[in-house]
Amino acid sequence: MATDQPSNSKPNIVFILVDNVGWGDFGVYGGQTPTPRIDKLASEGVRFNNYNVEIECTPSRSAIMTGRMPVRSGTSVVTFGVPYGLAPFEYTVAQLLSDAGYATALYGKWHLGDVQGRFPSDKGFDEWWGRPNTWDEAGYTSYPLFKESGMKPPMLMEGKKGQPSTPAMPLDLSVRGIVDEKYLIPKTIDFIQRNAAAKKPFFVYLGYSEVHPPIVPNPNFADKSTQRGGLYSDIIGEMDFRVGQVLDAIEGAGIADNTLVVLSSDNGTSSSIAATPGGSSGPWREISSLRRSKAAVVPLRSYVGRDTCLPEASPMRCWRPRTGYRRSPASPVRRISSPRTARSTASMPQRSFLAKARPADAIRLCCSVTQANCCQSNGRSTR
Amino acid sequence: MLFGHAGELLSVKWKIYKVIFRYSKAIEDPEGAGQFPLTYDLSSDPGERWELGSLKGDNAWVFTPVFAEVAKYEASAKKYPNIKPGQDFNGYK
Repeated sequence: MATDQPSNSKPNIVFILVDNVGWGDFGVYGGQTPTPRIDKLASEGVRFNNYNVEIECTPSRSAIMTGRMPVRSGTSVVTFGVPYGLAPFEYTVAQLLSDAGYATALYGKWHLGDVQGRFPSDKGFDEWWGRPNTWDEAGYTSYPLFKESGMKPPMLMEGKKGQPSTPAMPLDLSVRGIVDEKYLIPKTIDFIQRNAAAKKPFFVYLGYSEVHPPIVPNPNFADKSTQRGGLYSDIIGEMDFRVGQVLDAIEGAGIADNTLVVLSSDNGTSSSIAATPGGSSGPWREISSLRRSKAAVVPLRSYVGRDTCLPEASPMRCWRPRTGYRRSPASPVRRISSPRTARSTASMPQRSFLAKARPADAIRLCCSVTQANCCQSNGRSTR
Repeated sequence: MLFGHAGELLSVKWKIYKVIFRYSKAIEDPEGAGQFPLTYDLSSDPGERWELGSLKGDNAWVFTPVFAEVAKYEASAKKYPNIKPGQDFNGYK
């Protein structure tokens, strides 16, 4: 434990949220596609074996942003074509970090509002580039009748704090397979490098696009490895590589010993959707757009220093044990792997490493049951 | 538009697509809703065996024109209320 870390220090935070990835999709969880970078990431930090997410994209992302139960925020389901998203009332982790002096950015999927006032740049992010809603819109314009639907073609958008967000480019199938490689990853890396050079603490949220339908394989990864035999596997293989690119950038910027990296999925696999064939939710019940989720789990690295794990500073350090729920035992191969039940509402960082947070936050965060020391392998929760 | 036993909307056809909001699998089963509306491409799949959300997951745009049809119906039903079964009705005022 890096207990010598001053409680008011400001580690950089790199939050990677992959889309519809199942508990069992990465090698470290028994997945059959090699994911060496993610496995190593997990081996260097904390791996959660019982991290419970919400039922689908919007509620999980809402919980992660606000630390509140999505049902409290009017964000408990994915909606189509009707007003939705985070109300002006909501105070996000990005706002909290921004108020604490962090540079903040989101690249990729938001899915918490698609009107002015509800874009990421309205909710605490200095800058953003991505899709306000969801990746499945990439397939819309491939339907000939879409032109007669009365809808505008979906756009990737961009915005800066204090300014209206504007369309950047069309989101269609031609960009679907390369949006991570050509846009989201380079933008994330650029942000990391810029702020590392400026010595400014930062929070970057990478809303990675895969494995959300419609999945389009990246040409550099499709059918390129004898260890991978299909579309889903190639997508996971690429994901591992992309995560590695971000980790390399952190390393290359010389800030690895003061950066928290959190890798999480928003919900389990959508493998009941034929267009995303494959995936594993491990022992957990599957989520898809048509199935309720009981649990999906994140692999997570939260560390300050290569070998010093600092789970108590993790944005996801808070836990909610479920009464009467029998937990799976911690894997013996993990240095730290927590069997405790966690929930995506528990993502609001604690004030312990922030310079400033509003007093009202304590009330606003009442839904996210917080406990100290709960990630420690012998830690006991207080409730 | 197809309506169920209690007068509630079951499904809407828009061009080649059919969107099902509520359905019943058998007489002894209740009418209920899926988590999302079900969408079928009747030009390819008139038997409604391949639900597009479960097949492709990128079809939600179809809800937009369908919702527009539903809104038109609801506005009309508000202006011209539906005649209740057995109701004496002599025309709209």
